[in-house]
Amino acid sequence: MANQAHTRSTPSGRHGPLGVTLWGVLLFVLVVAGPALAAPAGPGIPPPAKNVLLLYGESRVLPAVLELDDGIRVRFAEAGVTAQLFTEYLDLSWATEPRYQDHARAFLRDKYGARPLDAVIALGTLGLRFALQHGPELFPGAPIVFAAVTPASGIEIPQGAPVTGVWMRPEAAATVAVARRLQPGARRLVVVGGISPQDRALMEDIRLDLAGQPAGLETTYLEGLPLEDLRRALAALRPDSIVLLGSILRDTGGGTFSARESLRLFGPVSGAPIYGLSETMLGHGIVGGRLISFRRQGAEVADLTLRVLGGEPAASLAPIRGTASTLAFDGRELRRWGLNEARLPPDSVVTNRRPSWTVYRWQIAGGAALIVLQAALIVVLLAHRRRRKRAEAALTERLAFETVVSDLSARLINLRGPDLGVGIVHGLKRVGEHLGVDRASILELSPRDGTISPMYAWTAAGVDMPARLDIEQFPWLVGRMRRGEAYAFARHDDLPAEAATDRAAFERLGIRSGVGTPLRAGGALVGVLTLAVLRREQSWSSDLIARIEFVGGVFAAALSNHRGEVEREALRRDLTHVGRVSSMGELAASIAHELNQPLTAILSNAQVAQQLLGGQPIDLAELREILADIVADDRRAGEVIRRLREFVRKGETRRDRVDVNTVVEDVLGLVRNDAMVRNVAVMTELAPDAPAVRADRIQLQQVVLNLVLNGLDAMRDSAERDLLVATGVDPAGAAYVAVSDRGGGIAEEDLRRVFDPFFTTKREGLGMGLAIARSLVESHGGRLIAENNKQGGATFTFTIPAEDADAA
Amino acid sequence: MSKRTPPTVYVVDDDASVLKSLGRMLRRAGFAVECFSSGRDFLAHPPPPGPSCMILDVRMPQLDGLELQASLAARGCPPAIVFISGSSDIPISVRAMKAGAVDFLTKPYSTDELLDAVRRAVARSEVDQARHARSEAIAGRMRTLSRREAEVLSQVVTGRLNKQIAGELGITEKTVKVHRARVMRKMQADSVADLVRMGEVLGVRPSPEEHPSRAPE
Repeated sequence: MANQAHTRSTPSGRHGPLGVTLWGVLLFVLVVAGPALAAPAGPGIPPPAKNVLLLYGESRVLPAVLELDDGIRVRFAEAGVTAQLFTEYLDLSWATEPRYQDHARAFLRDKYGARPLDAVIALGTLGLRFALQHGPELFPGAPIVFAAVTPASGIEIPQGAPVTGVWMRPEAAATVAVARRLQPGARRLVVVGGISPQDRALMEDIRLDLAGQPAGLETTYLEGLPLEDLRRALAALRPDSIVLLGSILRDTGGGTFSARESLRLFGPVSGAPIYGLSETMLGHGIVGGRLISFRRQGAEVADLTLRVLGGEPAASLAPIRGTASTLAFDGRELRRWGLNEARLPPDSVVTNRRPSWTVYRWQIAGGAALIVLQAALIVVLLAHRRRRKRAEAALTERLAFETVVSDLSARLINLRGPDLGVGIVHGLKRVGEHLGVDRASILELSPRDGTISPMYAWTAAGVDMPARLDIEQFPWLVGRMRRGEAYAFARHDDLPAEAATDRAAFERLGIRSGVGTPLRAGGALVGVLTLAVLRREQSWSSDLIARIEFVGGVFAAALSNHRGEVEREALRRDLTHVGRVSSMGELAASIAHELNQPLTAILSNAQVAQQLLGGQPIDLAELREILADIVADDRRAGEVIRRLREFVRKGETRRDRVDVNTVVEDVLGLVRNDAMVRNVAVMTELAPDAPAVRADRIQLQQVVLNLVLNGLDAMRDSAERDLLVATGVDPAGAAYVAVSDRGGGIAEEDLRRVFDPFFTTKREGLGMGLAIARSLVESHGGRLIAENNKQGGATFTFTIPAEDADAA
Repeated sequence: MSKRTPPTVYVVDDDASVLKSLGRMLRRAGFAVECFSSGRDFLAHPPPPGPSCMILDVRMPQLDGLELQASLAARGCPPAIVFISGSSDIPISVRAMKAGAVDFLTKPYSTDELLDAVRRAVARSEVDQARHARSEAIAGRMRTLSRREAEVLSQVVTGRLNKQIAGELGITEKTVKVHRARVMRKMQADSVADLVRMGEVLGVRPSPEEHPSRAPE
């Protein structure tokens, strides 16, 4: 408990100064930059929630669509209007099949039929066309507000209809004018576009816009070329050309694209600079131009929609013209084509400029100021830190001990078997050295023997450990341990009167100071942690005693883990043995028969031999043959007994190099007769390349035997009685053994439970066989699974990692 | 046993060691032996028709001893069988004995035990052989009788007097005598008692239902 408190104090103790620094910097930023950050919040009372549908004509992956969407949402959020914004992306440029439109209509009718919309924002030429055409049917009464539609699209807004919106004006002429400023020697203009309705509408707009262009440019329109041809055409251009990229959502090759995709394809190979009309293309291979901001379009259509939602009739709001586009250019592209930035109109924005001191001078100056301020702060904090230093020193001692304990705990928790003993002694050493004692030990109290003996001990150099003590010499100490109370004494006089016997024993042992705590696990006393000082007197603060008790807890947990492990292993061994013996019981008749055959032959051969010896002359040849038969039969009987004895042997688990095929053959030798009596044909498919495994042969035999016996049992009532035992190598390189029967299979609900202990479907079964088999397989690092065969019956398969894999 | 050729013992056991040792033992005891490692093997090479002596293992794959016994009985001439079994399974031994086995021995058996059983089985098979031969002969003679003679025979073997037979068959007593004499001659019977025994062998008996009120006095 004390420990938890310490742990909590750790972060603030260590990171306190740093934390303060960060807060200080943050405060500074807020004070200096605060006014700039505090944007004026949009006033107004939020109207009741409105349902608004954003109906996009195009795919949702188009950059322009993403920008529009963002612009709309941000504007709605800023306005504080609680509106439910539904979105549909109709993808009409790409999905042109009439049936698709029918499906889309049916879908929208189903989706929005029962959800009246307060407004539909139709986006893109195709979105608006769709909304105008089907709106009355699909969204009756909902006003339509559009954006990202060019007037050249030819869409007519019916007089008096509840439709308004934002016209998009691609500024082709303005862009070409700028391009000519940058490329005064340009002689050709190549306008590129696709063939989707959206592409065409834009192209039409460009044509109209360019109609008033001053002469001097030879203008070519490349519309709907397959992208590959377009790529070649652009690559062939000379630098005295200007390329103006419209929109290419679709080419005549049937390919569907976004402008960015097409730019990626032909941008790098183009022989002349490419100019664009949309901000979404900037940074993706165009030099620039007077670019439409879809985000701004989004904001504008949102504003218009908010007015409609606010009660203004859409029919009375004339469609507006979108805000003027921005002149924007990509510095990298300007440099690529050697175009002089100085020729740009003064209101141009250039991105990707080469960084320079002059550009960033204000940022750099700000950064320097920040560094100076931070330095000042650090000075202040250093002073503060000095004050804290003393408190921290006190903590350091605790922390060091905490480190000892947490290391100890982490180390012990993962140790098993013999390693655990080493780990515990190492832990005692660390604790002992840290506290400067002479001996640190874990003692075992054995009331039956009447002794106290060390289980684990560490002693400082030159100090001995008493081997065994009489429990009767420490009645006070033992009493305290049994009650779960720690003890500590700095000198003998600290011991209470009732500890007189113990005191005498301590004096005799030369222990001048000592501390001890009971180690309890699950309510039982599993040992005592004692620390003894022989060479001087040492006092123990209550704080320290509490910490030693905590250490005791760590040791106790490790010991009880270890004890549990040992017990589990013993239990598993017993259970395994019981499983084997009970399988043997099932096989007893079979084994008796297996022994009887050679014994019968031996007896009758021996008796014939006796008769031969009585005759004259003795037929030696016959006699020799008889003796050879007797020896062979005796060997055969001996082999049965060897298998049997090996199988029921109760012993330590061993790991040897084992061939799974041999294991299968040994087991089938034991059950051969049993299978015969049950009228079961046993077949094998033993793969010669099944890898050798590192395993306990007997345990593998037990697993196979169990599976085979289960298979035989499963076919008790079957017409077809075939048992197949197959071995092989699985894809992971492990050896597998599969036992398939033709019985009734396993009910679906039982498939998971067949391995549960005491789960059985047999009348006489204990239900432990498969549970034991699985635990044996898993103790070898393998898996045992059950599945039903397609043709009936079940297959049990287990894997054991190959020996080589184990070594690797 | 007194015949010129030694009697043949057919041995069927799936265990090669046991089969070999049995063959050796029986040959030394003076029997002719034919060994088979499975019931099917035996059925594929059947002995000449008529009774025979066999040693059969109970537990065998596919066709076990009892099944083989049943299948041989169904052929009309059950052999004298000595069963040998690895286990003393009482229900199985009872079944085997009820189905006419001579003995049922548990492995390991002693040579004396087995030979004793085999000798009894050989004797039984010889008795069966003789009985079989005799009934074959009688049946052959029987086939030479006319319908009326056969009717008279069936009346005679039940001990009816000529007068009763005549009344029964609706013929004169004199005609009955003539038929009767022919029957005696054709059947090569020395006496009426002899004829009755032959009738027993063949199972010729008048059905009592036909003559409920005319039981012989």
